[in-house]
Amino acid sequence: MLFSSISFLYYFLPIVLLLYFAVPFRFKNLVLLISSLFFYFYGEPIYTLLMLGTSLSSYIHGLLIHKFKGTVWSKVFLWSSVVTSLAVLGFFKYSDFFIKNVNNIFNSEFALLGLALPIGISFYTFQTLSYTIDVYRGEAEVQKSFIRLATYVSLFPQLIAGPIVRYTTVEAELSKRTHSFENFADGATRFVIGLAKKVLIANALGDFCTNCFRVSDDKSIAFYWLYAIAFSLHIYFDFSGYSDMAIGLGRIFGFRFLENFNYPFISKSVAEFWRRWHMSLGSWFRDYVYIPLGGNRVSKWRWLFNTLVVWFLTGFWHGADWTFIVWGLYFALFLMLEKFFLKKFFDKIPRVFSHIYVLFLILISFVIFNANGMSEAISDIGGMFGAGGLPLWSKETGYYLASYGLLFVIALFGATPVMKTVVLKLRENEKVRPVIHVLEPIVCVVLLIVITACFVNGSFNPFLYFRF
Amino acid sequence: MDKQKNSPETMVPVKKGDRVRNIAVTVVFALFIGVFFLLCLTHQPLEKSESERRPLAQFPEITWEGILDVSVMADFDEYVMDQFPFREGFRKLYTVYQMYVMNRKDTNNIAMENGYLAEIKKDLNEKSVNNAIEKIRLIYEKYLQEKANGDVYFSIVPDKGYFLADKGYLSLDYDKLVSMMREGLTELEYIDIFGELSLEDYYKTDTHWSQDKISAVAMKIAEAIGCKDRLSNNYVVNALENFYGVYAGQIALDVKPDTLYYLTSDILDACTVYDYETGKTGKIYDLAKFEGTDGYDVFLSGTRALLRIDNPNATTDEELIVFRDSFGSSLIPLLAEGYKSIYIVDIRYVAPSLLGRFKIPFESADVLFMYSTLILDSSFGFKGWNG
Repeated sequence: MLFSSISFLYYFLPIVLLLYFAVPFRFKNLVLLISSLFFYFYGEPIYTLLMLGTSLSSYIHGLLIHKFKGTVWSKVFLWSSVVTSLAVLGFFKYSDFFIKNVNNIFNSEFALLGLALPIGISFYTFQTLSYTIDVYRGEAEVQKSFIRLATYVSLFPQLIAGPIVRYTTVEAELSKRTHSFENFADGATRFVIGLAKKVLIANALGDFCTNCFRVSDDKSIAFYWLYAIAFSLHIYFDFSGYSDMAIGLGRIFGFRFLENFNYPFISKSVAEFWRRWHMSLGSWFRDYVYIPLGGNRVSKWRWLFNTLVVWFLTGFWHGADWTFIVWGLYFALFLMLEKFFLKKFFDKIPRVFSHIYVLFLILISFVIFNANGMSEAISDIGGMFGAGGLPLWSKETGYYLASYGLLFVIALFGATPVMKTVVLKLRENEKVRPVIHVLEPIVCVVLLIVITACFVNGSFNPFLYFRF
Repeated sequence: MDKQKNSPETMVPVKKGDRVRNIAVTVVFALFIGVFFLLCLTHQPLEKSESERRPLAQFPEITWEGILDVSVMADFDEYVMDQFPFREGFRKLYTVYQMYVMNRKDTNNIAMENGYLAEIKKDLNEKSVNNAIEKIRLIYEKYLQEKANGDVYFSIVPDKGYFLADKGYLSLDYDKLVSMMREGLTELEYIDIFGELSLEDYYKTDTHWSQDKISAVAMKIAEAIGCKDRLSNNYVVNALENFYGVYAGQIALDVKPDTLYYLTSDILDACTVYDYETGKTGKIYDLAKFEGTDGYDVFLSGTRALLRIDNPNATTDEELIVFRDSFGSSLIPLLAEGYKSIYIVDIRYVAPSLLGRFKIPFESADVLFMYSTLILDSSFGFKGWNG
């Protein structure tokens, strides 16, 4: 089920809220578990069993790791857990990728499995891994209640599109959490903002990329650049919008998920960009791959190796295609260059140039990310630089710029923290604060009405991160 | 909020003003989704959307197979979108938001220029044009190649998008379309009517042209096919108020209705229209159709597979066969005076092979193929030889 749908907003959510707040606390996790399973079942009936199986595997592995703590068996069960989880992820997500490559390399003809990717498998696999690893490390208490652990794994606000919520983040809240008007109000506001980012901005930018640019026979250099900007903003608003919705819904139910985005487009380096973009994934790889490999407290060559491994995996996590691997390694390359050369250089010149450098790299990166294969990626990047004798401008470029210009302006503005800073400043003013309090529910309702109008129109609504 | 005794939940102390805000946001959000939840549950499903001229999705039949292959869920999603309370109002709001807030030049591919609504089509579907050529050639080769006189013509009716191209809107490559048709139908004589038309000759809310504005087109065609001298071009203009064309529903805005004009004369009034499909005989204008889904169906009763107009006052034995789409419905009556009979064929509804069963005078009649650019750009509805 999509958050950005009538079925979710006006059927599923009211029923779940009603049930959740009607039952005593001891049943709240059960309500969340059942509703989360229904939420998943609605989109993936068969794979619901897979998710439950993954939860059960983690539950049993957690108990065994805990039971044999201090013995070699604890490590055996940890590896068993890791291998089981990764095997499931690998089988469903990467089988065809490996088969295709084997066929290409050895000229063989192994049949593709053609498995549908279980929604959210990359997210919940990483969550269950974080649980068993943290139990092994002694950073998390073993969870003896299967319902609580299954609730954590399947929690619908973050189930299908993240953020990757570590077990330790919600460990305490699974057994004790606060429900308050403040939580509900903050959560509802955050949810509506996320929904607006997704429906009003991301979907419209996606429409530009898919239904205007990609199908155009009248492309120009400027059109390619507009596409690169549109897609970069699209994926940001799409994913951060979903993260906002997840964080908001979690807050309504008393959970405090960590932030996943922090205005990444204002970064001055690639390293900073990745501290602001999909933070839950970055920190997951840092804590469970990069640091165990030795992090940066190693020799230069080992650090280069560690960096390549982490970014290869980061790219590969995003999708079973060479474009994603190239995308990940592309960032690794610039992280290395920054560490050894560029950082010193950018420290000496005005900051605006480092902003331009990062934005340029990000645009190129997302062109690669969105390409259907490397040849399309090369073709799209070539288009940005006039390859094939493209004109600088075309009639369609002008038409779509005029038609989507305001959207671009809003999206560019919304990708900076200006609005948030202004609102926070105004809130500090005791005279303005009551006005904001009055405006907040009004804005929420207005946004919900416009969003509903978009739903009713049956607008473009797929969500990109499902495929991860 | 849950306030169970001995609950592990805690209430965080907040400032009084903040507490009011918290309660207000909570209540407003909960009320909003709660009220719409109840409205959704109690909303009586509608069978069809009048404005969009389509049936609306109904509550899906629930089966295990449907659940497992997710079709039940997909159908339910469609159902709740189609049957949402105040759906028309929300559709209107969507258009207002897109056109007037976001400054979009079109919404759902419909643009509005000086009150004229038009579909924005930008990439010519060459496969479709070739398909149209192929289907027309097939008819030509089977029925017309051996004609004693070679009077076979074709004409192309530009859609409104042609006239919006000059106003900055995207449009089909009309030159290419015409060029493809001419090159594909070299045996047929082309009648160019583009220059006889302007945007104002079309209805504001509909795809079609207004019959009172196309006399020049009729005369141009008549001149080319040789019946101009038999046309008096003397009509009485009649009006039907409150005509909402197809775009009025699609755009979902409060647009002013058009007035539908139809031309009459003693000769046209005396003409009869025989419908081969129903075996019934009627008149050129079926005014009862004006109250139906599409008011434009007044002309020749709308979409019909095979009709014949008989003119009892004809001063000639000449006959005409027109292969046409809906634009022809309003133009063909203006040629009726010049012929004893006009056979009207719509190959979207009748397979060309069936035409041989009827006494259609392919050998002797003038023949005109007349299609709009909209149809040529999406011609896969044309039936193949056997349907």
